[in-house]
Amino acid sequence: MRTTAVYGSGKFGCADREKISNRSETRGSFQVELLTVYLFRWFTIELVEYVARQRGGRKAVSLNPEISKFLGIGNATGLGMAPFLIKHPVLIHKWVLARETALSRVVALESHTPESLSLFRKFMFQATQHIAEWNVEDEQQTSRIIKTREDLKQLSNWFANEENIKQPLIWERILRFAEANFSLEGQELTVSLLLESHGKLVDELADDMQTSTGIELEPSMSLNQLGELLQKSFNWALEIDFDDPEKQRRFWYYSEEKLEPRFGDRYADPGAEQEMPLAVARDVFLLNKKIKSVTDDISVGTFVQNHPEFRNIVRRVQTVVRFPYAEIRDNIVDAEMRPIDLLRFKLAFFGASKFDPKSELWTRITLFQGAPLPDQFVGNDSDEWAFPFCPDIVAA
Amino acid sequence: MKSPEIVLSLNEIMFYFTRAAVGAGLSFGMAEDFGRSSIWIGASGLDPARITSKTLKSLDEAQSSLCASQTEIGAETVLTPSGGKQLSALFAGPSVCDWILERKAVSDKTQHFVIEQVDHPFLIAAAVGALKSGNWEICWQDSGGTLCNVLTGQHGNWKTSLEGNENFQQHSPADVSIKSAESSLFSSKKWIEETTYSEKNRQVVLESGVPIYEAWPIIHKLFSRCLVPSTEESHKSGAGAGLVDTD
Repeated sequence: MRTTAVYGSGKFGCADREKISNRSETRGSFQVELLTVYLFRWFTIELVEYVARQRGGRKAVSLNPEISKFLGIGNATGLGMAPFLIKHPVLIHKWVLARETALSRVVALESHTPESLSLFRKFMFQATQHIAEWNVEDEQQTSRIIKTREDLKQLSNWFANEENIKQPLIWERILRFAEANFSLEGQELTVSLLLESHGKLVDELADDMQTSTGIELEPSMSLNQLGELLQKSFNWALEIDFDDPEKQRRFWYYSEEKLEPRFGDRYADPGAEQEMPLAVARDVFLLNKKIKSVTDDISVGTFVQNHPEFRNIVRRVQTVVRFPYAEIRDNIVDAEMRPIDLLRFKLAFFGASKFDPKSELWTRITLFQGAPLPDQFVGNDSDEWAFPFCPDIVAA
Repeated sequence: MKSPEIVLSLNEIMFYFTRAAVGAGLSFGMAEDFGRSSIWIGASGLDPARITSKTLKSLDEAQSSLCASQTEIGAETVLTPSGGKQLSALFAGPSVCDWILERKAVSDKTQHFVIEQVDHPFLIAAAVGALKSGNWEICWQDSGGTLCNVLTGQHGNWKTSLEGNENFQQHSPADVSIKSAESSLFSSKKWIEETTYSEKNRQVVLESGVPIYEAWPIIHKLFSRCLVPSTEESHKSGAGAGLVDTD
């Protein structure tokens, strides 16, 4: 079973998120959506069993539970995710903050237990198997996967050295080893291994991966203060030379076809006048220029009344300065921009696996592969399903 | 009873109405404020397309202005349209909200705000209501000389002397006054008889959506200006999907 487009809350007949956001069991962002995907997967397996019984009668056999568990649900994901990341900066901050906090908790552990070592070994083994089974057509991703396999081998060798294990702060040393020796994907995988093996320490952080904070204007702030905020928190954007046409070659727009977000070439494609307001770095660059041209220290309220074209970006700047992980600190309209990287960033938070890019604009993924089915939530290891690999019964 | 043209979620109201305002010539930042006002209208059980479409058209046809000067004289701040045109409520709404937030920052409740010749007075009330910044009384005289009031309260509740859809839609320029109100005013004798819109309306809308009637084509037409026609080429080079529908 594969899902096609998955639309956001409130779109095409779906309920507004507000309808469920105050219920404790559905407060988490995308919790209900991912539960639905999980239920679809369960339904699919039940459907397979049903069809088999209908067609085979007494000869029908049930799926082996290990095979059922290994069946994930496919999804193809495109550009809609990129605008989401830009439009929900505080939420993105919360996601990344949870992940960074979790990592900091793990690496701060001075000592380790036999159980945590054992769990880390288990996940390292599973990850090695999982990545061995991860094969895609995309050349760039293939070379990244190959490098990650090598990184995992190095990690395994490091872990096999008793001297490394005897020392305190093992988790921090693993992280440092990965940072010094692994590819970016290898480093990220190492972080996942560290988090997965410390569920009890970090799982509660997921409760805070949601927000009701909106993007609000502070009109009483002085324009000088706003200028200082830009210098302090948006220096990454101000360093980009947007006078270079290549730095804003691309633009994002909504197509008439299904209101689908698309990615265009400003100098070759029609529609740049209808550009979506997503180019945060460029808008900050222009705002900074404008602020410098205003000699009086007026209030932000007066400034946006005189220059309403900056109202959107001013509101954003004033809000996100309080949330250090809120912005994608890059130029998303650069000629070299690859939207697929944004997609993967978001999908990683969904627990998507088997990332299979089909272009720079869309990817196939798998969700819930290896997740226990409802009758398999028994035993202490039912949540140790990260990095699933093909059960022996299939391989045989 | 006539069937709605479409039923929208609050999220869809934000999406379509914000872009309809951009299509009519508003900056995106102000259009977002208009989107919030439209949600406030829809969440109150009213049809935001019916209420706002004339104002959008008026801006689109350059009958209303997005230029104004703001002056402060004693306890009164006055927003006056420039260029001899009526002032668009789509500009004046965010301006008054900014003024409210500035006053709030210095805990000043003594001042009041006057907007001269605003094209659709009720949309000022919608902007203030959507701000959810406490108790404010918004007053104006309609074209027949009747005094109209809206009182915003806590938790998104509001009261009004207006009755019937026509009054909410009334699009004729008037001077609008906005002043801070004591919370006790909400249950005072003056307001006790007036129609109340409460959070309950919002809960109903979250269950069933906002029905949008005959003005929907106007909103959609303006919204469509923000879309780029699709071609085979743009699908190939810019769409985040495969070439077959199953992707």
